[in-house]
Amino acid sequence: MASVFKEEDQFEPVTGSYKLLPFRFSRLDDKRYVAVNECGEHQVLRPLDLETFVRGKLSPHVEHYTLLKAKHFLSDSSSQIGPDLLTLKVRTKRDRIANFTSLHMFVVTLRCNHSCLYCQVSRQSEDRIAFDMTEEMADRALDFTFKSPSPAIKIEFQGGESLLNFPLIRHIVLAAETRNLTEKRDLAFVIATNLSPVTDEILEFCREHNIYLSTSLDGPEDLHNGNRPNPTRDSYAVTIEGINRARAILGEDKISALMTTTKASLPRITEIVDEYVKQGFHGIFLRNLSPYGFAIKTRYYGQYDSEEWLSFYRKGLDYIIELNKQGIRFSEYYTALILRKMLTPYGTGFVNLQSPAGVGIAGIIFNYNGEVYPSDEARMKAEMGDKVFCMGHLLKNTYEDIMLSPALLTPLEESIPESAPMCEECAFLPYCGADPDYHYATQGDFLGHKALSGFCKKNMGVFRYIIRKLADDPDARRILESWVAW
Amino acid sequence: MSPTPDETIGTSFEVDTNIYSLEAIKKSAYRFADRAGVDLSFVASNKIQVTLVPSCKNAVDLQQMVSEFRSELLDQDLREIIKRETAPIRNLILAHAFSRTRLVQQE
Repeated sequence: MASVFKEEDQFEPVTGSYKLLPFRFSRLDDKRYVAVNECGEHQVLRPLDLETFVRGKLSPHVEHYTLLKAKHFLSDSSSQIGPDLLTLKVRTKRDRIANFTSLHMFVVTLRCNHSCLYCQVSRQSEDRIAFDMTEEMADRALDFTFKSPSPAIKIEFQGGESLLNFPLIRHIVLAAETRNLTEKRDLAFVIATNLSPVTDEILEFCREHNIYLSTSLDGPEDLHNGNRPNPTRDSYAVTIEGINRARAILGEDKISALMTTTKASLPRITEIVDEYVKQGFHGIFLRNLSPYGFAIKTRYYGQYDSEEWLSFYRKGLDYIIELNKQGIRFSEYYTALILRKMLTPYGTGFVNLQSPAGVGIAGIIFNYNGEVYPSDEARMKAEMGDKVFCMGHLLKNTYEDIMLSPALLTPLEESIPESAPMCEECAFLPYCGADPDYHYATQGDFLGHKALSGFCKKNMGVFRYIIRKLADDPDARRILESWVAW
Repeated sequence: MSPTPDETIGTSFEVDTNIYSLEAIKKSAYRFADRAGVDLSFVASNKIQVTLVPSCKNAVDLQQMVSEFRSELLDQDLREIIKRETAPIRNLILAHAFSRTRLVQQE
């Protein structure tokens, strides 16, 4: 009996009948390449497979043909939907650009009671109230904040030690909430603090107004005290006591901690992670030093290079994955936000991995004296005497003057990775971003030569390591996938 | 295309511009900025001489460096194929992705 249906192979594309969809590729290691398309889908390929694919000779019967098709690297006669899906994912990935600024940082004081050797800020002693932001200035900063079209507004209080000017924080929170009765934004507050000035009264206020705390914890007691000295030489004990008090009043999830990697941290990654586990945290952000402020003056920055930090990061990630295999749920946050870019169609709000650069667009900072900067790092540069990034002044310039200032637009325009040498052809471009502050600080221009860039070396190393873990270790892959926040 | 190594001034080799575009050669050279100074000069109408002078004089494997430069040329050549073949669809996807956002100014 004759079949009314054609044989299955009649529906299959023939070799060479596919069209390439846009993607970039880079070397993953000595034996493999990784191809990544505009929406961040990736595929690891052997050199011969990559060349065969690009030259249009890939057989539809090999496994990676199906994978490349499913991930929108090619389209063929059997399905034309690839380009449309790719478009939707690209649009989703870039959605945040249209929302504009969400993170607004208020430097409520430059005063500080710690003398951290890697501090990025030129801090002032506790009694110098000339370095406090005034209420008038804070009100102007709030006018500015609510001019952003972003449906989500996060206000972060920075210092110095921000809680040394808690009366101003209270004023800003209450005023922002009043404005938000009509603005109806998704409003959130974060106080960055070393926790030493924290009192029950402050914590009660934080609880009533749903304020998050972000503190610093560098690792075990001797490491933390060495990195972050205070006059009573007990900054670790003060921090841990503050974390516990904050948790008791605010709840477990209302306080997070950040670590900074110094040279002394490099051989101690497992102890640092263990300290975070011991203190009840569910993750850690492995953060390298930045070339700004006091860290330059004390020559702390430059004590290790990108390769040394990468080795620290790789050991840390391996150790954290091992902990997960033992049943301890714990993640590395930098990896997690990159995984979101790799494994979902969504972007992240992380300022340093945005294109165009996140400075000024994703986040903006109001200095205590009314000057507006595109990033925390840029205002630190100003404290060192270089005001190249100063966008204007809250009392002297309009919102439009400030947001259209050449101090913002020039770094943004000159650093766009899509038109930068090496970046425009780099597979990792959809995961990466521009960092004009870093390249200005290290190379004297906003773009920087990427072959000489520590930012590039660090991030390429991280991207490659994550992709190798995903490709080569199925257990690690399952754990890494569980870190992705949707 | 056989290299002529000289430990003091580096090494030179020729690249055929009928095989590799000038752009591919220049892009490959740009990537070597952390390892070597690169000098490019025409020695015939279709031949470019590439001279690599290592930035670090200590124990540099010049043959290895030339081999990496050649691999980079092959990568750049493949990238040109992808770029050429996907240019129209790439522009279409990006235009579609950003349409109906406030980011595109109406003429």
